[in-house]
Amino acid sequence: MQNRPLRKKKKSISRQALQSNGLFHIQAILFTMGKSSKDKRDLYYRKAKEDGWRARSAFKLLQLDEEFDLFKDVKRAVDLCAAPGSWSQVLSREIYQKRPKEEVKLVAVDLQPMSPIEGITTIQADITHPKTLQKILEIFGGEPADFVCSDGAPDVTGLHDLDEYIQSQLILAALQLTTCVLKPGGTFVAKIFRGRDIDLLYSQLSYLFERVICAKPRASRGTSLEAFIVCIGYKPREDWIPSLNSNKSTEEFFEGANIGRSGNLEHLDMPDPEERLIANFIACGDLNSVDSDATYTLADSEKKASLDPIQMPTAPPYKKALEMKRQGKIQN
Amino acid sequence: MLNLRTKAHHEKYLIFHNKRSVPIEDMKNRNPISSLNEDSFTCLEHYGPITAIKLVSNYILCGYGPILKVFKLDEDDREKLIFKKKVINRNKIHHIAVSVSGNKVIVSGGRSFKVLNFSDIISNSAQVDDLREKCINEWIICSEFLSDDYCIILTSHNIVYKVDVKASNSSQDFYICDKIHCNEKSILYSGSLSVIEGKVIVAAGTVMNGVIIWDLEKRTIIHNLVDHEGSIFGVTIDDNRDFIVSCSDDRTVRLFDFQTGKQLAIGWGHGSRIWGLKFLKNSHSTRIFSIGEDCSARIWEYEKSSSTLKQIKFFENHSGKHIWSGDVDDQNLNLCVTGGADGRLLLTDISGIDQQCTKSYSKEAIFNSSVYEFAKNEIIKQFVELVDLQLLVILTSLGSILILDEKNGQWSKLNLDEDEREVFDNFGILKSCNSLRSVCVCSREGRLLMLHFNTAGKLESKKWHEPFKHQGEKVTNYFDVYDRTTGSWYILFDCSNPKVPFLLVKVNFSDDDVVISKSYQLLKPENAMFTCSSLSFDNMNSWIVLGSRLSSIAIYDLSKDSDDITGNVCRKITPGDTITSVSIMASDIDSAILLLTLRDGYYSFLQILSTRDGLQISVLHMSKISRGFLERGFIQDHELILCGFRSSSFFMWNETKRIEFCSEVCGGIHRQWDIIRQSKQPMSYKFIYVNKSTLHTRLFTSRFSIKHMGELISGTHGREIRDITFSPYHLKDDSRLFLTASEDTNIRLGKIFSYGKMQNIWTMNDHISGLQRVKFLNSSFAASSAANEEFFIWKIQIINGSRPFIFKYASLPQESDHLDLRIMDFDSFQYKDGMIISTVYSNSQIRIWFFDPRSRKFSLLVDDSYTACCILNTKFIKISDFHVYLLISATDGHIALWNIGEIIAQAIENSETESLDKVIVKQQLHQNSVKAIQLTQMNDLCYRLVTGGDDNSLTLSHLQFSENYSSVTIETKSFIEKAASSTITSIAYSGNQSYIVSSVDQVVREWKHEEEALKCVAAKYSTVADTGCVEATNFQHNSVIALGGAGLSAWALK
Repeated sequence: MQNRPLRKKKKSISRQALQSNGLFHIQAILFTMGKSSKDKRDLYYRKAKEDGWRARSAFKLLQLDEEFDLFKDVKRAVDLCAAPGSWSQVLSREIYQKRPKEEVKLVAVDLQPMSPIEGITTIQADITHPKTLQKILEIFGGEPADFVCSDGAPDVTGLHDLDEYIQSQLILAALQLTTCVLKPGGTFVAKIFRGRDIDLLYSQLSYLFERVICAKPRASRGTSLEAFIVCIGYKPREDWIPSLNSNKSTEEFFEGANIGRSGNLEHLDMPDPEERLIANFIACGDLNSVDSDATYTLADSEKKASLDPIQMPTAPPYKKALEMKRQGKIQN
Repeated sequence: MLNLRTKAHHEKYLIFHNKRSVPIEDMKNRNPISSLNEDSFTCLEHYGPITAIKLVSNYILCGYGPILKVFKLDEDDREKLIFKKKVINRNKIHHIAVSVSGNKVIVSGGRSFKVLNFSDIISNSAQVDDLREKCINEWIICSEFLSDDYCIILTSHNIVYKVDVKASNSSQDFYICDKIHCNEKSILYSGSLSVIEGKVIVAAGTVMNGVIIWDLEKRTIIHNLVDHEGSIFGVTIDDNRDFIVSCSDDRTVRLFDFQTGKQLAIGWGHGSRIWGLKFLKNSHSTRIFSIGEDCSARIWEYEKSSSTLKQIKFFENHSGKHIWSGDVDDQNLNLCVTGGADGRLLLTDISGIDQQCTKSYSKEAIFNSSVYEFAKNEIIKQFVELVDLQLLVILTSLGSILILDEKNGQWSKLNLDEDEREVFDNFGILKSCNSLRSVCVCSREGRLLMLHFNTAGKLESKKWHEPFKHQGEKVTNYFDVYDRTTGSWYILFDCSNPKVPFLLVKVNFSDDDVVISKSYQLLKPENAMFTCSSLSFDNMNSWIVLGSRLSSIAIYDLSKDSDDITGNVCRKITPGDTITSVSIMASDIDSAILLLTLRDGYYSFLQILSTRDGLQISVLHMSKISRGFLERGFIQDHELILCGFRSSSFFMWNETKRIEFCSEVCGGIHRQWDIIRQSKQPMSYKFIYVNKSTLHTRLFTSRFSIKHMGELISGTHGREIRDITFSPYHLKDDSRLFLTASEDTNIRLGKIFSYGKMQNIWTMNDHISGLQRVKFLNSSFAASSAANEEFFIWKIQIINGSRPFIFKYASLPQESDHLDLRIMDFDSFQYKDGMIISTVYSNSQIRIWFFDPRSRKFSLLVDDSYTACCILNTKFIKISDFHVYLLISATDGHIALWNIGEIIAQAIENSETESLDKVIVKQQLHQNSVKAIQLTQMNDLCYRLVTGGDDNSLTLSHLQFSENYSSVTIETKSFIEKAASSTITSIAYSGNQSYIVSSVDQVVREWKHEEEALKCVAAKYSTVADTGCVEATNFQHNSVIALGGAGLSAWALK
């Protein structure tokens, strides 16, 4: 752990797909912790392993909850792009284990299989498919959700514009389902990349929620573009009935919702300028809590104890290429 | 709080497919600081990711982010930039297509596209400016023309728009004719459209579901190819529709049969993701060009019998990460073109792809030609080439000399008597001098056989010399150097006895023959062995320079007309051991600049000065190549060329441009090899080596000059730039030196001109971790900091108008074994004959050092820490030697200030390390990370502090000192909560109360304060993503700001 060569920064990422039934696909790659994860420098990584969280992102949701009291009165919640399941673990500990069990209904959805978590019903399915919505509603006994969250992010390419686009598609896919399942007044939380067009998204979300806040937990590194959009007080658009249709793209889904998304103009001219808004920013987590940007020196006794990952990452697509390289079957 | 209005208000204006967009004044949400007085900024130059390349006859169309650059190549491969315009406003050009007629061009990227006339591009017509950027509401994967009047656009939702673009010349009113899908709305990462006579096949590369091949007209799926794992990043169909090729996250290239959809072959080799593919057009073979994240471009060949694609070419000349775009033409230009994240646009010659360039001469072949029969154990020992005569002379282990006439391939044997041959039995060294048309053979006993040839290549004379007069001593090595100005050929004899001086003989042409005109005894340096490993001569000062082991050189002044000359020795000049080559780069009276190469990969430039105290040798420049053993280095056309061996290959590398232009698989490092510049062609070198008792000669002939190297645009770092600093010193050509620091672990020294052009001079790879900061400390020193506790001081100098030199002058010792411990920032001020430097760390440590430039030593004056959080910035406020303050900002949103004047004085006086006093100001200014700070002095007692945070906000505060500097207060005068829509990363002060602020939302803003209230006066979008740093400087007539991130831009400020 100490002798990690910095020059060869390698992400150990596992891919957790959000949707896969062949009608509409987005891949969501969550950062999970293998034995050689990228950022072991922060204590959150270690603490997560010690506390039994499947990923250190659990702390982000905990800190968001600390700030916004997200789970207050929540009985029915949906976790999208849930695998490997650290946010579901948080929902389980903070909602399922603190309320009368019979009134709590928690659902986690992911394309990838997920090992079971107490109090969580796991659905391996595509979140854009109407059947998934149906299943969730069945579990909820026809009642709407109080809370929807998504911590999904794509495997970034390095082309910032493309990565931000794919991330926005992921958020819109989550938002589609949210508009179909969330109760008026409910809360939606999702991961965002604070890139060049984030003010477009803030603006569009502001049509659907009373308050839209960009929140940055201390557990999220300051050098990363990552932040979380906390949307409080869902207000369904009047005269617009969201309906999931596997043949519709996200663009088509939100047509008619009148949330300031620009459609195709008659002569395909630019809709310039577009509606943009800067959301309020709130840093959450105590300033004295662990800083994910800081370098901590571990006591010698701690150093030696190499912790096993809570859950091994799934095999990457390039596993075979790595193996062949190792065996000397690939030159250059 | 959001400004929420009534529902009715929204609905009134937001109707889809409306004729006009929403009137600005009626928009619900406006971000007034996303675009404001854009004329205040003018983009001068931009270097960054190349996102699209298209070859069309002899034109190279290049999507340089939002800028379309078009080069025209003439028959001599000389390029001309004929068009350069930002054709798309916010988005980057990801795809370029040309209609079959060649009349129209469509560029697309993001949601935007534009249709241009090719004739307007060629004539660089102003009409292009009138064209409107068009847009659809989805991400565009690619676009093609059906005819000049219709184009088709594939979106990331696997939908194809058919668009009527007839009006592209006049009204620009385009129409959507059709919106077509195949009932499979996958999200696409890649795709291509194959158009043959109006019939379209769509190849869609999905995020999760493999490749989908569908028929546009029938709207049906032909194949769903699911052999790959992971996302598909490239897919294309060949012109005959025989094959489909795709690449993905699984790092393979896969070839499929178009008819059956069956996988035919897999290409393994790319080290990471593969971003793009093209079919070559040669009808005799099936070849594929690929580019990828591993910065390599490759050519693959499919052989019907094999299920593996064979890699037949491999190029790796981009830096950092990612070749994003490329195209290939094996019909007409015989070139491939690649564009990387490094912004470099590079041509690579592929004309020799099927040519055999190596000539091999086995012993049998030589026998067949010369009738010289090699004895059983006889091997080729030595060889030299007389370039102009095209003669190759070899010496065998038994002492025979054979000559190859390279004009006709004929070998002949030189007539030697039996006792003459025996002189060279088992030992002999060949040297040649092209200008004197001479070859000399040196024996173990120091006997010289001089062969002189006439201009027809016939042997004219053969003479023996015996200049070496040490009976019983065995000569171990010979070196030679030719001095063009006096026509003198110097040959140096080295023997193993340290008491026996080096013998240097001077050979000249006289009376139609070569004669030894003079000899010198060069006394060997005392105390330690000095084995000569390389030789050079400076004719200006008559200095003979010898290179040796242990990075040592000795300089002998031949002008001292004595029999025994004592040398000036300098040991351990650079890290590394054996000096493999030394050459004179420049010389003047009493001074010279030397170039040294060391086998370990180091190379350096040294300055030799003759002073009253003797010769002084100092390092000007030092660096290390990371590609194997370095054997030779020279300057050609002001470019530094380095040669050596890497694993099983020989390479030639232009270090100035950082391009490898030759390589030959030769079986590893050789004792016997030579690289000879061919005089007849400007860019031709012959590499000669012996492998497995066969002599090989490989001619490298580059299509491009050494200055050009096929590079059309030079570019910048291959990964995100984290900091920029300008030299305080203004150069005569209205330029400044500047340094950039990047995630790619490199520091680049360059020159920026007042008109924005940036020229790279050196790339320094001394750091091993990603950079945090780089700053000029004064006009000749700079410093940089990184993870792994790396903190280096660089010395930068220009000698008599030379190219600037830079080298790592000093470094802080590493104390922690924590590789992640980052030095986040530093500051310095002049103190007595040295510098006080502060370093702040990611573990909250604060250290203050005294740096003595003469001893290059750091003394630790203050060692303390702040809290446990990461410190981000540090600044000194120095009022006098006694009144010095240290300011920091951190991830906890605070700034903190200490009085350190007395502590520093005390620490220096007692030579002890002190702790900080109590913090005198600690104030929270932001919710979390204070990313950027800018401090300016208002008057003797007051400083203005502007800070920017991760929380999107900007503050202006006053640091007010009391009259006797005993106390200080901070008062925030202005707070802008929403100063950007994302993290503020950097603030530059451009004078005139104008602050330039960069943020991750890619908008650069200018803020001014009116009565201490900050006001945004200009805001403009920048194509530099992950914007991390901004710096401002002034030239004679203008102010320029440089913006770094995923790319580097220079803007002029009004």
